[in-house]
Amino acid sequence: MNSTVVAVSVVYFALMIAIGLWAARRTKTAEDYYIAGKGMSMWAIALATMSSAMSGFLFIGGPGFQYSFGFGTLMLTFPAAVSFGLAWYLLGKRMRMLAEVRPVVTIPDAIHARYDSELARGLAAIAILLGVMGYLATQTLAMGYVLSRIFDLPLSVGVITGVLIVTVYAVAGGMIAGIYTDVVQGAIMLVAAVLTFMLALDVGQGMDNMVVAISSTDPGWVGPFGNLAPGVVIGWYLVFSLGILGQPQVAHKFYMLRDPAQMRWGAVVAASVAMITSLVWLSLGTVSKYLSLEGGAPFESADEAAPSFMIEHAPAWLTGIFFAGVAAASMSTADSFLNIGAAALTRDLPKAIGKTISPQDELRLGRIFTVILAAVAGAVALLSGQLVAVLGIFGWGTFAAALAPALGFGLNWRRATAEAAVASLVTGILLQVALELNYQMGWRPDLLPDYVYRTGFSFVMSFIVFITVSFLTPPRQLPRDIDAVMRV
Amino acid sequence: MSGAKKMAQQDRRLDILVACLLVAFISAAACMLLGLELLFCYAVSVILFLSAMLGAERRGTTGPFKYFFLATLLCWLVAFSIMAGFDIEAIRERGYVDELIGSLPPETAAAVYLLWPAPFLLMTLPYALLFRRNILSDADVEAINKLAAENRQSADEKSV
Repeated sequence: MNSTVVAVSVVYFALMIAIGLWAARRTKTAEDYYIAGKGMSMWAIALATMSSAMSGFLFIGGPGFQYSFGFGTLMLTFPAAVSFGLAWYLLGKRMRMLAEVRPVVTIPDAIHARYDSELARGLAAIAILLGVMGYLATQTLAMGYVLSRIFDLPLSVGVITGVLIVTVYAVAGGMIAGIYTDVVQGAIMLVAAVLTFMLALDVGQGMDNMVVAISSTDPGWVGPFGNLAPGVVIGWYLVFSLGILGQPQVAHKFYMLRDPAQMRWGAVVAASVAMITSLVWLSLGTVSKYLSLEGGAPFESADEAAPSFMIEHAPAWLTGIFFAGVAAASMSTADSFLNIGAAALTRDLPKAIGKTISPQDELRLGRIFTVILAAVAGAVALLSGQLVAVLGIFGWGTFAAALAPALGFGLNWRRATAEAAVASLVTGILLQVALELNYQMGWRPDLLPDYVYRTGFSFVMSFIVFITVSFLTPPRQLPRDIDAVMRV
Repeated sequence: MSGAKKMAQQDRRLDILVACLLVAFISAAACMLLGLELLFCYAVSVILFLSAMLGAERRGTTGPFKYFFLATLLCWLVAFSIMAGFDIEAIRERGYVDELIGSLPPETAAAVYLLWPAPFLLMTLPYALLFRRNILSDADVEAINKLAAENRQSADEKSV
């Protein structure tokens, strides 16, 4: 790779480690480690929420996906306009106020505070651990891929290097490092996306030219659903909009806000930055398709579309920023999940089975589990082959299907019961696992029609179960403080 | 009206809203499985609209948010209806797209220019604009802080 690209990348990685070491000096308690001591500003929270929600898929998988299937794939990124708004309306003040009245640090803590059920807390922790492992493995692989491209390394060395860098700053600085690196990473993603968008339009001689050229050979591609089943595309729109309510990397950021009044502009900042960064998906997918029709060399895989375009057409400094942007997107997601996974193992599962761990041990164990999780994710990424993709899809879907009803609706609807929370958690986890395994293993290919998005089905069923069971079971009197939080 | 009665009325309002959500989710599941694409689009729009209403509900009212959310719902319904009209055969016959709106075929333009910015402007932005009056006032924060102080005091007393 060009020396300028290498230099830009080295500066970026050095900056991430420096932030981690700086944050380590501010991390003294478990609260600092898991929720940044509730001392973050609105800008930091909004950018960190955006960058941890938008993973490396935005720069590599997304454009590759659009290159293959057309404009319909944008329905995976359009929800950003509404999802952050929904997260702020349904979770924002409830989560933040919950952190005022109860010592909550994790999402299972919030579930427990709301339903007073250790079973619901334990199931939420299991859903989080399952999802975290899936997410971490895919992000680890994405980091390894980028590093191997930049430094001409074997993939395995790239994965190990990526794991080491994230582990250093996540272990040392916990969530304080996570938030500040996310802010820098979010800014890099924004710059990389805007510059790449302008370059892609320039190379393709404008969107009109590209669309007309593509439509002459592949008219379905330029349609609103692309070459995909409309039912699948609309299912994405639903799950990626409302499913944000179950994403722990988004929901637990509300605990960290210094002042509740600062919540005001958070959704606007997060959504607008996410929408701007989505331009990279729209433009790179389109220009790659256009160039391939104009006689460009075919790609080995769709994921090669975006990196190949940058290497061939972008100046070296922009290619460097692009690759740093990809690494930034993967790392910002990975560090959040390391922290969330460590909290599930150190805090949530022991509490669910009635074990109490001292605050000092919680911090020490949190760091140990962060290292273990990173090592396991690296091993899974390297050893599981095709399964990594399955785990990645499974991760996001599990959070959405299992946690969104109990957390998102449960914090806004006083009639919701603990039995309903348990039932929807079980439904979400089981349907996600069963449908995904069935599809990947090919046991019963006709179980669901091919125009149905599997996660969409699990997601909708989980909400139906949650609401139905809540209406069928007697509501309990809520504690005064929880009732007050829900009536604010 | 007494405080308890008022609260019970607010709770009933929420129950009705969630019951409507249940109907929308069941409709979405049915349309999804039966392949009724346009109806599925409409059910999804209603789910998102009602979910936003649930989040904006405060002391028995959604205040001015309901107008913004209704406008968003309208945008979703219009955008999905236009998108469903995409005629791939007509393009195949002509050999290329002959009509572009904002550099895109009209049906795709409806997705990009309606489905993308409209919910941001009509749903996400009003959260910030109406925050003080309709989301979280200083009095709300003060009341919660008071409760938090009571909880801390009771925890301290228990530990002593």
